[in-house]
Amino acid sequence: MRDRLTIGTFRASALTIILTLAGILVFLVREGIPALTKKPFEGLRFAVHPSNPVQKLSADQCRALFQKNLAWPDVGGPHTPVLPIHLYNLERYVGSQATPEKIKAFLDSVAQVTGILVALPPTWLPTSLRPIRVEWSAWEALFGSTRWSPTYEPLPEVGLWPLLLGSLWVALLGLLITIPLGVAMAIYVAEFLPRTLYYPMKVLWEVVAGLPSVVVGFWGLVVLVPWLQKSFHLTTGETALTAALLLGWMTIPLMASLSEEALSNVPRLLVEASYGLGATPWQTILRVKIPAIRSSLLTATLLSAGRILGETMIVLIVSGNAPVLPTSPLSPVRTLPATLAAELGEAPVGSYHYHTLFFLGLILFLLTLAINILAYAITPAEKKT
Amino acid sequence: MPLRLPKKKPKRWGEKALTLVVATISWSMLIVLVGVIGFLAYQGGKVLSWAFLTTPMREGMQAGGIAPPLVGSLWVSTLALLIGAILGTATGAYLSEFSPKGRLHRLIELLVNTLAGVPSIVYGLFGLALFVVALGLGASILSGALTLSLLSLPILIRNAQEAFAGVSADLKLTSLGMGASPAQTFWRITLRLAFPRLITGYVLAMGRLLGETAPILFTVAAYYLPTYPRSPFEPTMMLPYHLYALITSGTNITQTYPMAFGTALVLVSLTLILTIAAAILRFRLKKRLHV
Amino acid sequence: MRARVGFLLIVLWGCAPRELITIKGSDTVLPVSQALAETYLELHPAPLISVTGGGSGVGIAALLNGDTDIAMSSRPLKLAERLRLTAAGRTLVEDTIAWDVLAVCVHPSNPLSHLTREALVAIYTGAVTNWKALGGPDLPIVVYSRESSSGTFEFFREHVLQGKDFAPSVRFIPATGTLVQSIAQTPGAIGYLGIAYLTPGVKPLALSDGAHPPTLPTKNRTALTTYPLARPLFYYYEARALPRLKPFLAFAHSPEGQRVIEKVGYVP
Repeated sequence: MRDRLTIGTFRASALTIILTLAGILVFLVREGIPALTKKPFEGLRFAVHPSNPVQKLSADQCRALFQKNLAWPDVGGPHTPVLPIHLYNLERYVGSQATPEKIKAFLDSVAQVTGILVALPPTWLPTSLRPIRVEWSAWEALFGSTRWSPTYEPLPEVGLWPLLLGSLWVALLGLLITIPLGVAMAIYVAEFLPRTLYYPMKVLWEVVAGLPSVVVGFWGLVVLVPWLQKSFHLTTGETALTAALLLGWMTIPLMASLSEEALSNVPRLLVEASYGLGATPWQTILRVKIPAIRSSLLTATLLSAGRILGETMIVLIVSGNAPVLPTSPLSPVRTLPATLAAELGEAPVGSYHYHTLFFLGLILFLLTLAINILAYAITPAEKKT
Repeated sequence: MPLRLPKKKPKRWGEKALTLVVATISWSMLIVLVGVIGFLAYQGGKVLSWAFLTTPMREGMQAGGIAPPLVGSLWVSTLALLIGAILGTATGAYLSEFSPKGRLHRLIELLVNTLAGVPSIVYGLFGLALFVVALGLGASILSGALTLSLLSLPILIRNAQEAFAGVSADLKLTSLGMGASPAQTFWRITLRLAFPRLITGYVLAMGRLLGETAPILFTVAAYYLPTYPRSPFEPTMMLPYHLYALITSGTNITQTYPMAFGTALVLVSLTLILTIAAAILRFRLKKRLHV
Repeated sequence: MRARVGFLLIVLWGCAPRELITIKGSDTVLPVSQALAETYLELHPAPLISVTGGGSGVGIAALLNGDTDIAMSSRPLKLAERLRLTAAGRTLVEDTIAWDVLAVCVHPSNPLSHLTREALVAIYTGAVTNWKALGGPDLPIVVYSRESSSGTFEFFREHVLQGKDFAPSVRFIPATGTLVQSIAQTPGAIGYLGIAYLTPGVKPLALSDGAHPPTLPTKNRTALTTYPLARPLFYYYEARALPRLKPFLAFAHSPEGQRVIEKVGYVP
């Protein structure tokens, strides 16, 4: 009886794992998919003066008109200046304390202007104006745009590419540090380190890997950033490279320990054969052992990449935080996790921004998921030999 | 143990050079670590004192101490570890001792590996959506602890699995042979023998949890709440968030730097102590079990 | 076993929710609230006050959700928010707690001492990328801004950029403290910040609102009329919560409270 209770409870605990993963997926999808299905300007209607021939606009055109980066003639409209009136700039005209009557009066008066372009809730829309369609393609907004400006109302720019590429760029730069240094350390520890120091070295690795990332980021801010700035005469030391240096360093232990484990498990037959043929230790390492652990190295690389991609605090503190497409290691960048950390606290629950952020989280989750599954798909192949 | 052939000193200078290179790289990691911690220790040591650890902050966080975030962090992390340890150990036991090694077993192991790779900020998002919003717990110690416990599950499960699997199969079989049921064998033999190894894992996990920032940003951390938590439904200050707040908020950043260094030093010291303690424990265990 | 039960009892006893005033919102107002809370709690230990940042938008959203007692904001309620409130039948009280002066700063080595609004717009929309176009040294402009959740960000976008959007190369810094740090370390930098964050490490520029000659940002109350970027800082709370919040609010408005505000660096 006690047996059944024990086993049953334990099995239930094991099921929490399934629940957790399912839960993460469910919530990310539930809160993220509305970014694809909803429009940021739900509840608003766009309209123009009846004399304006324009029938529909793309979201980009509409936004450009609001910002006065485009003029009416560019989109087939009349030769009058654009007068954008929407819920978020009404205050400029009526003041933030305006009463509904005052707002209505203002709107009625301004509806006479031929160049007007409004985005208002239906109840506020002056009846004399003619509604137009503004086309919003979520897919295009998320994956076709290269600008991330999610709070520009009423037509935010939610292009994911700067963030995604920023993440990948930092990961790439970080791996350039992690892989060579990690493998070098693995070789040293597996082949040349005196055995008495084996354990202390592994402890050292664990210590480095366990450092709180916010502390490493802080150190980077006060030491690395000014040093980089001075030494290389940069406009600022807050760059993708800075973040990559710190992240790469912190991930070395992961790479090193996985590689070292693989190195130690190279079949004796191969090693003996190599030495038997007269090869020196380094010849054996470079020509026999490393090739033999190729897929383990790939696994380790993938897992290291996943770790770097998921890191938040270091990037938030030292990478410059500009959501641009990175052009050089010295560009500032904005990564997916950093965006989530910086913006989630501010997005009201249920707003379009909130949903977009969860969509970002979903992308990040799927990305790291793919990497991890790939990594584990590769490993068994080698264990079989 | 790796295959070690009789140490023949590499004769060619190329060999020596390569060896020197990898040795330098490996030891440089220690030097960098010492540099980082040494710098923090030097700067943080200027503010470190008993008062620093036991009094709240004053004068807009430019003076005083970090007692509230320290206590808050300990509360949340301990609670998280408790929840994670119970769930994780039970799951590890199931995987190692009771589960028929079939499809479900492989599925769960795959899922554990998958969860290990999920970024901590995604756990934070999940915690926000589930505990804070959907379950209505709000930003509270409970939300934060639950989120952190999920984060620590993969490590704790693997740790428990290895601990239980490490108990000699002979002993388990003997116990079963003498008529004990699998559950009895587990509780009386396996668990007791695996206990030291389990503790090691818990200590290590605690070290990691104390330093986590991303999951607590939206689930528990408050900017300023200068007392000690009285209920798990309240938010609290936390060390990693406090460090982040000190270096990014506040009207006088350079004035708060000393406090930031102190906080960083305390945080890193806690992590160091726990990590090294876990390492020493494991070392002692290895020595005891290895004949 | 007994120890476990005892532990549980202690835990349960502690679970009674404590009298707590939550203040949430603008990172600009954050130091004010923190200093006020600190001083107030020294005099009146209860009720407890909890201060959290996140940006004006967060605070107001939290107030609308019922997650906070006071929302601190460096911008007035948006019309959209106001309408949403009246639709929900809630009345909020708008309480001006202090004034903030927004300073536009550059690195101390920058020879420029004032900028027109048009120049600022050109810089922040990416039309001008090098200081030499404005009569300065041949140095790329490194543009800093607050994060989009910030009321300071909204204020700047609304009053300076007047509807235009920031260039993507602008660096969006999550918190003012880091922003100041970055400007102080970067010769080509420019950024805007609340006057409370002004340190000797950065150099404020004189700005003109068109009607008056360029003036430097100042904490002088009377000078507020000539400097273009002065704004009130608000506490928003529900009218029906007033009795509970009254003691703290009274303190905030008292001479002592005002002294605390001045010490933090804002204009009472």
